[in-house]
Amino acid sequence: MKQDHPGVFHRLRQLFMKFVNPILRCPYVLIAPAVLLAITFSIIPTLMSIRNSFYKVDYVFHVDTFVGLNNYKTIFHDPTFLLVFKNTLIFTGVTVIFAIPLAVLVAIFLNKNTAIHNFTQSVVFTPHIISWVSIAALWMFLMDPQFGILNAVLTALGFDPLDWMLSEKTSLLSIIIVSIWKSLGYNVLIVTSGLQNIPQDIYESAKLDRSNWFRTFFKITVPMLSPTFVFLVTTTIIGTFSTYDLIKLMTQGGPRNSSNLLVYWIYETGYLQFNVGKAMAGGVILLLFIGTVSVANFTLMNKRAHYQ
Amino acid sequence: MPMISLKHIKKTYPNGLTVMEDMSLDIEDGSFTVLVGPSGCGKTTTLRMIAGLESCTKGEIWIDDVNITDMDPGDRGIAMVFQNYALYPHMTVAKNISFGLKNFGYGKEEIKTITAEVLELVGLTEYANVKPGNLSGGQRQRVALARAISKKPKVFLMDEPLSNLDAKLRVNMRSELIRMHQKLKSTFIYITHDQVEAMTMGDYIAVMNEGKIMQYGTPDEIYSNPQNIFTAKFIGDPGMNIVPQPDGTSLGFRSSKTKFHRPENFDGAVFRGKISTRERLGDINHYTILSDDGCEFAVRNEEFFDFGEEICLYIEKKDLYAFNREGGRTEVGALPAEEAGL
Amino acid sequence: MKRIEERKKKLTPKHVIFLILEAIVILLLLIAYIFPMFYMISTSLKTMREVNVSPPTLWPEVLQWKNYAEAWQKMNFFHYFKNSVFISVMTIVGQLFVCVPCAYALAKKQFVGRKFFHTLVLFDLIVPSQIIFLSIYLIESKINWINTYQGLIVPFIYSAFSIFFLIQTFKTLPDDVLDAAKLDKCSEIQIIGSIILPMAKPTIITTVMFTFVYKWNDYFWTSILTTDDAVRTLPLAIQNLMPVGNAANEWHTIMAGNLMLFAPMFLLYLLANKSIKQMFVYGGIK
Repeated sequence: MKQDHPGVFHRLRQLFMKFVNPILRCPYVLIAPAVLLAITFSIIPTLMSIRNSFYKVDYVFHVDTFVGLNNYKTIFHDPTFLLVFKNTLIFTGVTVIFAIPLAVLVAIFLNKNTAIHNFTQSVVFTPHIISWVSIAALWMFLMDPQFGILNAVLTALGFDPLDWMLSEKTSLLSIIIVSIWKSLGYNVLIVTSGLQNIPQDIYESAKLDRSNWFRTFFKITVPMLSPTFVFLVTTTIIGTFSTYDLIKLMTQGGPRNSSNLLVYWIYETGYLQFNVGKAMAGGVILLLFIGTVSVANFTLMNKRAHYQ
Repeated sequence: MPMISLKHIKKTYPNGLTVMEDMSLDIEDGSFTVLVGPSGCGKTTTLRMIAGLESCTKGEIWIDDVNITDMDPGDRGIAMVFQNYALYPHMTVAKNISFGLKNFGYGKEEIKTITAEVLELVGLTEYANVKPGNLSGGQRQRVALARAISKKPKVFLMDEPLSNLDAKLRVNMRSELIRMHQKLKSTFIYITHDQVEAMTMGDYIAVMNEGKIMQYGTPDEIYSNPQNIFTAKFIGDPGMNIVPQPDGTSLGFRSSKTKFHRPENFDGAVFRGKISTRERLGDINHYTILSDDGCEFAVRNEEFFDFGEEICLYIEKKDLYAFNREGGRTEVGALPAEEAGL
Repeated sequence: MKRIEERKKKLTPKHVIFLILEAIVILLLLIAYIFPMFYMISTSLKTMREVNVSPPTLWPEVLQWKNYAEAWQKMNFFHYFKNSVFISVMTIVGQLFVCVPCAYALAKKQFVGRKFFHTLVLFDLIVPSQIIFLSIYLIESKINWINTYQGLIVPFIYSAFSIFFLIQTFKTLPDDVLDAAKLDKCSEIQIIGSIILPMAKPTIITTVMFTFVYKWNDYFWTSILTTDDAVRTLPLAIQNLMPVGNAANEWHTIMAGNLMLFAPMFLLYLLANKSIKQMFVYGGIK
């Protein structure tokens, strides 16, 4: 252990090891930055949101008035909020009901390892890595009532053209279509990985039992995919509840709040109208929803770990 | 060359479990000392405390008049070879060796020389630029050894280094390690759970059980002069047969000194039983014999006996061992009467 | 003999139907996903007049490459591109310095309160920050971080997802290699930098890519935390092309701009196709 030429660098290193390294070795030092940031940008904002929901927040004079459950009472009587909440629920419900079985269907059809299948899967996945801005711009164009190609196709097929985002009746539908379109690739990927995790021998014993396709699917595939389903449902719900980008870019919630969703409403109320307390009340409701779903997800996921 | 001294070591884990109450051990300069014992006896913990990878709750560790108890592992003058080799998988063999040397302050040229020397010592010069993933178990072990040697440590610590090798390779590596020891003349502390390995390799053996040193001595001493029942049973292949006596003490005898036929001028103990199992080990049979009150003896003999055959085992008094109620070694006193047949 | 024949018989009717369905599904998917891209490209090369025609045409008469130059200029592309690069890279660098040591300590070290801090650090996983954005905005405006680079970078240096993912991987790294490193007199920096990171390379790459994609595509936070253009990133660039509301008829420039917008991501996707997909699966299921 004798060094013949202890250079300057080595002497510095020895000092470092003696004085600095013990500090770095301390686990509290290692986790400190992350913990501080977590507290500042995750925990404190959550607490603030909850706190602000019980106050009337004054931006200008920084004098907050405690109003108890007033904000909550207000929003439950606010037709806009109720509409927004309804929209969000519809959006979530429709998306879950359509997007997930669709993903399963597509995943089953694409679950072969040929060039075409892989290519198709890659293509379907592409929108997932593209930002909402590009997606919104694209679909605004496709759905343009005058020059968009969707209406051109509809007319060509003999249907009436729709006003898509410009009509109260169809704005939510437009959002739903775009949302499902973008998320299909990701959902298919998850289902595919779930399918591939099903051990082949189960299918082989089903074949030996002379089970036909339908029976195999419903009695074997579906149950074995249940953890995947759980994951997809919770992720989709959390995703739909958190939708903001699409609304802001495509419809800004309109026309007349027909496509307004919860997060955008919070943005409008708190950010644009400065009604922070009210916005936070809505935020807390959202928090409760998503929190419950997340916790349910975590618990079900842990159960699944034991099961498998 | 140091003597390693463990003074009154106590080790308690954060969850409250105390695995060592008051353990003291002095390890001879330049010796090949083996720590042996069943799983969980504390030998690995002891080794890791010497290495500095674990702290001792109480007590001190000294190497060569230096109190190293609170020193960093890298500052102790120690090198360690692990059971799973612990090589850096993303580095070549040469880099595995030279990586630490840089931290110790060696210059570039020196590092090159040392690495080359050490690779030649273990016979792996052609593998310098290979990654551990492409080596066999034995080769990996030799790289680990080379890495340890390159630091020119005062003490080599080895944590069951041969357990993951196949039997034949293990035997070869054993002799290589002994050769290393003789060549380098450093102190080797070697852990194994295999008492045969311990007996063949060690200059000194420390038999451990439940965090205590049961006995420390040369293989001879430990074999022929065990200080307690545990050591007597643990050491030897097969271990000593222990016969509990009605008064709570015990008698013990080894298979090698057991005779199946009464010798002339016999003065010793007789034990009776039936042949329970028989295993052929080459020329010799390994018998388990069941006595009337459920004692099981393991005895080896060339002679052939049938299952269930009634046997008398004759052991001369000079070959008998006696243990007191606590399991400690005592003088052989009065022998049980022959008729009792215990 | 009988069994094979039976199987062959089963092959024909059901299987053919299935194959036909499969072909239809694949065709529909390809249309649904390739056609919009194609149409975007063709629009980007049309003239204004060609775009504002009903019914729309499939392909321009003359390819108007100048649309791209126009879009580049109008969008002030380079400015936003610079910001995007800077912010994404700095976020990744920050995460390396904050999330990696934290994950290392939580995965490999024993200390009082480990479980507590573990939960604390993963708090963000339970509560997606879209919900508390208003409060984050308020915090940042109090410390004057609105419209700054640090305002867009620092909050994202902490990423519960990255930490979670890193912890899972670090836990699988063998402890005795770390012990050997300690005996080799390695400093903590060396342990993290020369031992742990190289051994966990695939995960590190995945985490970096995930963060990069997320940050590069981020529209939400950038629009909330900035009000002027100085530090804004690429996703907001396209707003310069779009007039407020939906009555846009400069679709050709907008599509050109749009293509430039997601070209980097698309390129990355082409190059790293498999790993990107893998990373989303891991991020999800595990």
